[in-house]
Amino acid sequence: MKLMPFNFEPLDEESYFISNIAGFSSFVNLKQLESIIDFGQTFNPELDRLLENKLFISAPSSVNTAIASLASALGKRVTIGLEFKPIFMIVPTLRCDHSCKYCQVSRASINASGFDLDKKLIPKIIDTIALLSTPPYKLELQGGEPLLRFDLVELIYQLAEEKLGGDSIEMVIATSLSLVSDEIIDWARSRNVVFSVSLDGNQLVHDKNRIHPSGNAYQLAINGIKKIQSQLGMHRISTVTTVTDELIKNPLSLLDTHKALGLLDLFVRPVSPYGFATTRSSVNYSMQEYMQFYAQLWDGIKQYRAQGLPFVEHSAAIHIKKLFVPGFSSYADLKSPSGVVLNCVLFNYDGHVYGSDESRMLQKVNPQLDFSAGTVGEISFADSDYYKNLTSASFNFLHPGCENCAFLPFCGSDPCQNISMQGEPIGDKSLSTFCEYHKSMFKFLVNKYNTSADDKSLIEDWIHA
Amino acid sequence: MPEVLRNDLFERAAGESKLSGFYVLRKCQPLIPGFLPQVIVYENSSTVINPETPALINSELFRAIEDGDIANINPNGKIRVILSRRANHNTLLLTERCDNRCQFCSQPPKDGDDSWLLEQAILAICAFNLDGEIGLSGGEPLLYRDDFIRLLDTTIEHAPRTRLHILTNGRAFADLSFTKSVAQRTEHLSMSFGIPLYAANSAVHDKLVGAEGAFNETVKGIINAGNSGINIELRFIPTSENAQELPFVAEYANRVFTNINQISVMNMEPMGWARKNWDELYLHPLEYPLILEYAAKITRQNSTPLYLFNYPLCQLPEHLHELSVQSISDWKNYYPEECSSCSMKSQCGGFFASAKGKFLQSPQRYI
Repeated sequence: MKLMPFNFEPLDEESYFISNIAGFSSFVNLKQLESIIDFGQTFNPELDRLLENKLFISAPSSVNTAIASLASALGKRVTIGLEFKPIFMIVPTLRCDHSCKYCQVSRASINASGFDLDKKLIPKIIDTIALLSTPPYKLELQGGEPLLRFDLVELIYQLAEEKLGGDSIEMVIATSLSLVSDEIIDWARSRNVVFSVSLDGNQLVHDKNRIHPSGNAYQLAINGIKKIQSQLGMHRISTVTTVTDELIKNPLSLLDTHKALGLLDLFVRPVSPYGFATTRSSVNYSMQEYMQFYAQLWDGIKQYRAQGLPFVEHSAAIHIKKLFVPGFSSYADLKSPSGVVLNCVLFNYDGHVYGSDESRMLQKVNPQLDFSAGTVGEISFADSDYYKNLTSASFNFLHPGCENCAFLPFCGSDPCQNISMQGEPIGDKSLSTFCEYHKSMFKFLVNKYNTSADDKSLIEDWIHA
Repeated sequence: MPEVLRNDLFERAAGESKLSGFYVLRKCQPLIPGFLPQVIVYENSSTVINPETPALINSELFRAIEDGDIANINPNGKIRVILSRRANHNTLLLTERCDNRCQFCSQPPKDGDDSWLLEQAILAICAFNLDGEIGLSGGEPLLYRDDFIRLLDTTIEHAPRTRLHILTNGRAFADLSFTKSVAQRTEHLSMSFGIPLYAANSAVHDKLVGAEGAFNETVKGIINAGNSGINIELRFIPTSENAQELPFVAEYANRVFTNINQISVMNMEPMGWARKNWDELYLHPLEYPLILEYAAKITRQNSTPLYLFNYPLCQLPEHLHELSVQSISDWKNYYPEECSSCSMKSQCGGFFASAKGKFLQSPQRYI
């Protein structure tokens, strides 16, 4: 048998995870790995057949077929990755009633002026969306706090409904819920609107970093969640958890907080190293500490599931889908080519249009440069050197440090983070937070998959989450 | 033969004129010259209107056909309705030659020039001019490369509403320029290609299809065809030699191939060489439900659906029933005695007419 190109990653002293550019993966032990490399086979007929079926080795007479198959699979992945399927983000205002310590976007204070979207731009924004995409359209309202300008939110929905069709739009409002009123609930009732709220843990954890003048950010969020659940339904609200130093110490409190609200879906992630987030004091943990936290959270989830509470943690579910579902490419923050422009178009409050939320953060930190693709009505991503270079620099299989990584076919790239942290879009992977985080998650999950039947069945469940 | 759902075979009466070849069967006047000679079918001699034109007087045949169906009349007087507007499937044989020698082939190939079959098929497709699907099988239908392209071109010109489903081993598509010629025609004619892949490795596939090098050509062929935009139905027949390969084929299809519209897992038909090799190859479906389940799971995660063909429901675990398709062509489909009081009969695909004796896996009634 002939050896075909593949990458490997040690999981412990004995076990190795192997993968190839087609996205096939498997597990072997050290002896088998060495035998594959030395002899093109393990001499275990069943394992050799599996390795041949997954293009790790090839019969001498089929080497050309194996090469063609690897090439076709890579072509298929890149083609799917290049599909233009953006979520449209709109920032009605940069003003916010919170002043969270880890805020990524450098929000403006609540009374500041000049930080709201000009009403007259909204028809042009909707026209642009109609021009750029096809149904169904996903709109995401970001902030600042979008509900500070509920009038603009209403107008955006109304014009989108008229122009794009009521059945073709879905709106996500990213909000702290401090301002959810009966009027807003009534408005949302008959519309295709869901709310996404930050919930960082219990009151102590949440209020430590999420600062509302009342000192009650947690209670406001909880009240808003309950209001939406009781009046609009459980499915109208989802949470996002940013892990802070406080939560790291007490992972299970997050599950208890969610359980008390009847929320069984979590979306947990480390604090973003972007923009202003890391200049504040809320993050001092290492990735190693994060993964220790995550392992405890995982065990907690397993315990609750054994009691009949089917918690799903969607960050892990995304990594799992990337590993096991060929063609899964819809998550903008973990794909190669990156999701910039291809999976996101952002209309900022000032009329500038960006290819990602992170690009507007870069803009904020580097006001002397232009990270936009122009302004509403006059945008061109194709004419923007920034976006052209960003996309072409985001194919991870060409990156030093990625090309020999066993998680390469499942991972993504984040050129904006590399610019933010290292000053250029490719970056030194040994210094990359993105690499450290995602590699840790992949490794954690494949190790669980390989070593425990319980964990394996949980992981297989989340493939469908 | 057991009672099939639709009989397609009739006898010419002793005294009738010695017609033979392909004919358009007509039930009314006038006859308009077309691609094939025409013959009027009368219910009985009293209904004959025009004694001058070629005629068949056969009440059974008259009741079985629609005006414009196509029949092949052989020199011995056997009339086979080969294209029927009432059939659930219509299939034309393009050649009996093949470059594979599949151990379970239901229609074992013959050698020798039979290119007249393809010529007749072209005429039959055009004369039938169906707004629907016609299957093309063999042998290996793509063996006569340029003639097959001509068949496509003629169909585009004279019967453009026809949808073609071609059953091929896909080896011809290893030739990229041939693939491109076919791909160009897909803009004008709806067609899809059913291509079997029995394993994701050459040893198992080549052994089952009895041809060294077949795996390499079939895999390259599927890659070329899919990447050229040709629609493919990937087929798999589980046998004792390859049932365990199905999940690998499913993953291969999802990672490597493009334009796979569905994966069809097909129960073996006890015809031809499959009868001869039955004991070595046949695997009862209840011996591999986990494999079917696992493969279905792999494909459910993607957009490629997996369906089960030719499986009587009583041979599948109940949770796989939803994947089962009533697929056996009506002219060779029957329900054995045991099925008559089965509550699932109307949803079940039943059995091949050839499944009798040791080839019939004891049907179980659902009460």
